[in-house]
Amino acid sequence: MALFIYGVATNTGKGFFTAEDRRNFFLRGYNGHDGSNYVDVWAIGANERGACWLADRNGVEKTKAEAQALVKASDDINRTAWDNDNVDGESADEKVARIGAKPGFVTVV
Amino acid sequence: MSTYQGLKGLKIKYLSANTSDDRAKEGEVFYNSTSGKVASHIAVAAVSSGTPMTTGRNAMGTTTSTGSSAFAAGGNPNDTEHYNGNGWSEGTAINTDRRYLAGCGTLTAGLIFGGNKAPLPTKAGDTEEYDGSSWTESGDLNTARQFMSRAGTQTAALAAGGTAGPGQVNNSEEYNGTSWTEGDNLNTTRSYFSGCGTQTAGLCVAGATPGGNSALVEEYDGTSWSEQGNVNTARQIVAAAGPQTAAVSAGGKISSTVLSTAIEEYDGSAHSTNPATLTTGRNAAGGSGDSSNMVIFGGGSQPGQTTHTEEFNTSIFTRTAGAWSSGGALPSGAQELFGSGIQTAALCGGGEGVAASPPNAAEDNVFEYDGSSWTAGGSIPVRSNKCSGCGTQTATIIGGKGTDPYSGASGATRSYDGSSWTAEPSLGTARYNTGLAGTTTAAVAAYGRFPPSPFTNSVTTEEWDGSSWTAGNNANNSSTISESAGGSQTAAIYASLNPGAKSETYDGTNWTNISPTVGNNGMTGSGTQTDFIIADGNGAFRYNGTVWATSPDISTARGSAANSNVAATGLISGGVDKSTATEEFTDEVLSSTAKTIDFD
Repeated sequence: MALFIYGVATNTGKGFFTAEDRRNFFLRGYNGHDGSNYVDVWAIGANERGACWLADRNGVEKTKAEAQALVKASDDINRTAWDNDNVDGESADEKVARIGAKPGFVTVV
Repeated sequence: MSTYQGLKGLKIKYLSANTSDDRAKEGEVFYNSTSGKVASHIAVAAVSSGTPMTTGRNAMGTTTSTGSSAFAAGGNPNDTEHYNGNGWSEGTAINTDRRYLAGCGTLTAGLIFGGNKAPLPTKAGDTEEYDGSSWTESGDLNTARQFMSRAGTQTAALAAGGTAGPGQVNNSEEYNGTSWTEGDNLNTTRSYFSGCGTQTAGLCVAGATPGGNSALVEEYDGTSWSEQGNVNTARQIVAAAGPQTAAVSAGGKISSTVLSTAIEEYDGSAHSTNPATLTTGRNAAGGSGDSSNMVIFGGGSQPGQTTHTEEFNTSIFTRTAGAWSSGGALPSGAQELFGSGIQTAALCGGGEGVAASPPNAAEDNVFEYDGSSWTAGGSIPVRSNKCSGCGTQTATIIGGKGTDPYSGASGATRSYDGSSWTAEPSLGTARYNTGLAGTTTAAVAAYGRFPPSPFTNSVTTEEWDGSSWTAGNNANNSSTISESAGGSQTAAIYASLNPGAKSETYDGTNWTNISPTVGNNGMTGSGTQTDFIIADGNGAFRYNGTVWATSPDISTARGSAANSNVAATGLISGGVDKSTATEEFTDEVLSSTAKTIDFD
């Protein structure tokens, strides 16, 4: 049995996941992008409560590969934005000091 | 006829409600006049989740002492972790790197012995003593071995069985604080097992014989081993702890694909399976404590080694672990924003938002949180990013910021009265990402960065008295950039998380280095000098005034978010990458529920 369920569900704020949910199943969120909009991607502990949580929030289940692709799409956008954020005459070190290191790729659990 | 007064020496109390919290006592009977029922608090066994270890490991050396103070040493990584009942912190690496070892004693008087060391698969006889801060070599086992049973203390330990050389052995050895001498032989040769108790009242549990899994249990009285009541489920490498007459065995390996979640208790003659089970099946986990409070940690899971920590408690109190939950979403996502206030009355604003143009330009938005949702507050007159704040929702001060568009630093200071901002005298040293702690009438600002490029880390300290900044003593560590600050002007904490940097506390005059953490730069912190919590989704840590330990983490990884002022009810909002998410922390709770006594 797989350890995690993957899915997309919009974080609606207060009550979207509760402290009790966090105790009942593993939950980790990622920033994703579906080609049009940013989406909230979730890795959820593969138990009954975790599965019901995703369903109750009108989530769409994804495979791990699909979830990873959504996260990578977001990473690509962020990395491109970093590449394009330049100041004339700025060295590479100065750029890192100004806006931080280039974002990396996030791997879903 | 026996009476309650005769048995307990007490009359039954007449109360309007059930006793709770520190008034609740196990076995005390009382009459609840509201419900019209007689009730009492009855201890029940339960497993609760604990804070994960820093590093997954199995077959490690552990204490035998208590469930609230333990160490885990070796077991693939050669480092040591300390457990304080709430979380794990870094200890000192053992001298001889090894796995499949055993341990006993306490956190400050511990012992590890045996195992498997380089060049693999060399069986180890190495013994090391621990005082809570350093490991010291001591006399080797006479028979180098791995996967043995353990019991006892640093000055009176017991090692039995295990795998030595090519095969399993049945001999035991006793340690006197200096050297090992031969004890009696086990009745059944075996390995892959565990033990508990003392040198003169020891217990070894289950394991594997050359014929397969074993359910056998033996007791040691300091002279000889005797067969006792078997465990109900034969399995290998359980986590065993407790005295000989109140021992617990948890988890274990039933087959290559089946790990046990079972918990069995031993009363000195027989094993019974407790209805409570581990959440995570595992073998070769660490175990410390006894049947009233045992902590089970790490171990081999599927896949790999787990960091999971669980506590088995028999108590009238039920422990509910701390956790982060989702809060109301920010109306507009941002990172590098300031935060102040508490979970139910917070303030955040500025930063670099989704609406910023050009990218990473500053924002002037301010939002107020009521514990459920964010609403717009009075905008900052000047767009402000990388600024920090302290105080309350209706009395906040922010100081230092990046220039806009961001290329340098400013010492701009402003105060907020719940509706509008007032320009105040600037910091003497212009800087951004500085840390502010205190109130609008007594604050401290320290650390941060300032130009020219490539930007210098500031150690300058300035104190705010409500009308002006004055210089304080410099902080100690020039490698630090610490916007994660909390506490007051005279009792502040600055959590530094970038590699090589150090966290410090400030007493209003002097700075003191405190134990480092293993977190990441940009983590968001909430709390005071004696209770400070930081998290970023890739790890979370809590400082109790003495040591950092692991803590429950937020769900979505992001740094540079806004914080609040209380650790136990922490609040994190916004953050990289211009997130709108808010998460709220609910601290661990111990609660008791009285059981009604039915006379029908």
